[in-house]
Amino acid sequence: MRSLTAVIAAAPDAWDTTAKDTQFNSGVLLLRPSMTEYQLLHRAVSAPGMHRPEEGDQAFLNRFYEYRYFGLPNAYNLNLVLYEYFPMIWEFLWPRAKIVHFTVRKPAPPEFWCVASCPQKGILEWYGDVFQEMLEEYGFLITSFSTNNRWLDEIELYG
Amino acid sequence: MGYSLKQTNDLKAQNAEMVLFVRKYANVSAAVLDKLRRVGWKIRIEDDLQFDNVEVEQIRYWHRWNLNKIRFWSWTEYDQILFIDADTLVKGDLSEIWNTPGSTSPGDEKFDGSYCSSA
Repeated sequence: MRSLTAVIAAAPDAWDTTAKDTQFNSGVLLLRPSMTEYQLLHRAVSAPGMHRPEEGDQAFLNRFYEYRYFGLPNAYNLNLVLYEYFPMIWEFLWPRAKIVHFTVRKPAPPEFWCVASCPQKGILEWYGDVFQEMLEEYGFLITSFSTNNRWLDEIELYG
Repeated sequence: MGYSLKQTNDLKAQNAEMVLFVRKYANVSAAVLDKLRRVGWKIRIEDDLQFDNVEVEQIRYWHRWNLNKIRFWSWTEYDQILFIDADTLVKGDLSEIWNTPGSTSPGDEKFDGSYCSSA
């Protein structure tokens, strides 16, 4: 296995129409730094056909590394879209999950999580529990959730 | 995210550290950066990468700055980097990731790896 040269490793993307896309999601990427590779990537972004005007990194990286990336299990990038659209797959992957990716609904102040309910309510409550635990451990105490800005002021990058 | 990573992983045993890339022009306040450091992040504030033939204003706003991710290939002080988006929580032990096929042998001087995220 050591003889394989995996340039990068990433897990499959997921959408409301497919639980396992042929493209990888670039939200979790294992890579090996190399100035040669960096310069190749930097030049490739500007090369004709490699980057479309509206695209971010993911489409480009899938194009650049097509056929030569190592596939990680879905557990390394459990996509929140599965929770609503593929609940049985979500239930199967949840106990195995190593990284949970809040793709379709981002972590946000409590007022925006799920005011009454939303399809991802249970998982967002789990995020809230972890976040609250962090606030308490580091003394980032919030006296009131009455204003959204206050929450953001406390730790706008979600620690 | 960083808190959940620390809670579920023994970074010292993995010879890894947590590095947060912050866009210089994001103007993240000193108070917030201080809190992030207290959680365990090593902060790297850097300029946006520039690319010929790319107009960032044309990129969809929700991933407008994501081409900055390419910079991680230039952080050659690390043998390996596991980039993780900031909109995540780490739920399990990730130590096996460093043994992904093609991985390098443990280094003597360099860190084996770095958990990296961006803001």
